[in-house]
Amino acid sequence: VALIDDLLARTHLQDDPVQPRDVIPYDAPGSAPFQVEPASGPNTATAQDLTTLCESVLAHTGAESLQEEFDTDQIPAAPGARILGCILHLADDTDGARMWWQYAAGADDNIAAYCLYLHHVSLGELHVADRWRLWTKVDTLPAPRPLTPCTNPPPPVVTVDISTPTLLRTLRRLVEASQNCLPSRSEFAAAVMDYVPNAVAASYISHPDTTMPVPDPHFEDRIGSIIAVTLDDDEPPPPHRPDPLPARETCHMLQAPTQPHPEAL
Amino acid sequence: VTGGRRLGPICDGAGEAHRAWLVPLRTKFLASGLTISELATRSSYAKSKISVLLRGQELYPRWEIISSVLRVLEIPAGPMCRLWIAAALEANKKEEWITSCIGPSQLATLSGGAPLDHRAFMEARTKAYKSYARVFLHDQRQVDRLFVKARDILWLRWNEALESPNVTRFAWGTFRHVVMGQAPHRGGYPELRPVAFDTTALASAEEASQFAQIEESLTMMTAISRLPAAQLDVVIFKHFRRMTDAAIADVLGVAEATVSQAARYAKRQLHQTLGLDGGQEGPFQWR
Repeated sequence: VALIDDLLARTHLQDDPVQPRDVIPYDAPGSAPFQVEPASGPNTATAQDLTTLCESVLAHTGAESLQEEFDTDQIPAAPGARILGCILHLADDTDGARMWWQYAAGADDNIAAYCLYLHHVSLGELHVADRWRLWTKVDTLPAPRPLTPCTNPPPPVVTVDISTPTLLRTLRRLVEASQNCLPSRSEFAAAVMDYVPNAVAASYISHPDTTMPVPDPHFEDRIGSIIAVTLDDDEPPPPHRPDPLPARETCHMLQAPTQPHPEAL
Repeated sequence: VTGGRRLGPICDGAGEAHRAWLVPLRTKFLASGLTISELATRSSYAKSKISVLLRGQELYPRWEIISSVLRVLEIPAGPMCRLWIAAALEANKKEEWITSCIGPSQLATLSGGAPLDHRAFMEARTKAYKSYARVFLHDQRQVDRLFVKARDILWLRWNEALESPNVTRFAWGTFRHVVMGQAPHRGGYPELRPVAFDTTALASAEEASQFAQIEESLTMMTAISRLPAAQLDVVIFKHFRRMTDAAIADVLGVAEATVSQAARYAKRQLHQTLGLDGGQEGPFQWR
């Protein structure tokens, strides 16, 4: 690492380099401007996938679970940090989002690591993205799997792609297709979106190895009152219905990874 | 939206300077909620003329029609006029044509000042912005012209900037876009190799080691030019210009922590690209 520091130190430029005057001025009137063709520019499709994922996380965050996650002094546990990251991403605070996801991913939150993977791909930072791709246990490549529906007589084997990237893309297309009748956020989600980004962006804690934005000191109380107010106004939550779908195979997202944290590599 | 055809895309023939004023004009038009016919009626021009103007088709438009449209859309004429002139020159229009369009008396009234907050904002960032542009453009006059153009574009979009979540970041994005539009590129990456000859290391190197220094700098510049945008900007300010993280954060409109993180990522990526850890990628080759 010392070598790269030396190399970088020697890239310091003179303020006023002596340059021979060019015979032909660079941008004489009429000369065509240079065309920019980014090689690995920002990836909009991935950015949309990430937004879709964040909206899903927010939509599936119930008031109770949020209260549980934030029921700490200032720093929430990994799932809470992941939710905060998604909220900040939706509020356009990409830096805050990245830091919270890193915190959650460091505590083995696979979805947060997956968010980071999408985040860096969307910025064209493929090198960093690759580290998170290796880190997360969420599948990052489309993978068709054979599927045998239970009908009689059994049909020929059908291959269906139910990988996370494909599901996200499908979800994004559905959202795009129904853009005019986009389901609005729940009152609770809207209130949280309204409060959280400003409450979190205000201050940073600094450790030797990390810096991250922290919620303001009354964060927990405020979330509590948002929950109380919106739950009072809302219809009571529907009673829990048994899931009509058969149980899935064990979700490998939830297994704890055993690799070291990429930041520690 | 009430009736009327949708606004088509900007035609391919429109140059970069032409787009610099056309894009904000279209944004204002779309935000106004007017249809093309309504805009045509209010500005007393034929609908077909307005449609051609908004798509940047056919001949470069005369100032008269633009100024009527600006009045309807309540866009300040000053910055627009300066951008219009720059684009007219790019479109090979003669200076006589330009003055015949505007008239010297009108030109004086149009060059009135930008809002005070915009001027103050740009003044505080002039040095850093220009020092960035200078890395990609090797003629100081070209840098000065580019800075004026970027300042005008931002003036034109100043309200948009103030309404955005982060004015500094908006301004930086706008400036960077203008720089990259003008910077020479090679293989899709901005060309940084010419500054390999402008390092302080080379200036202070003994004659015997000058060649080795140039070679090292060329390799470094090629590797740096391939960094993602955010990391590239931080490396330029932090290492080429030796600015502090706090000062860089101030220019880019991001948190200081973001700057130090981007610098760390950049270092790691360069380390790998240059093959310093004896990794699989091997020593970096430059063409």
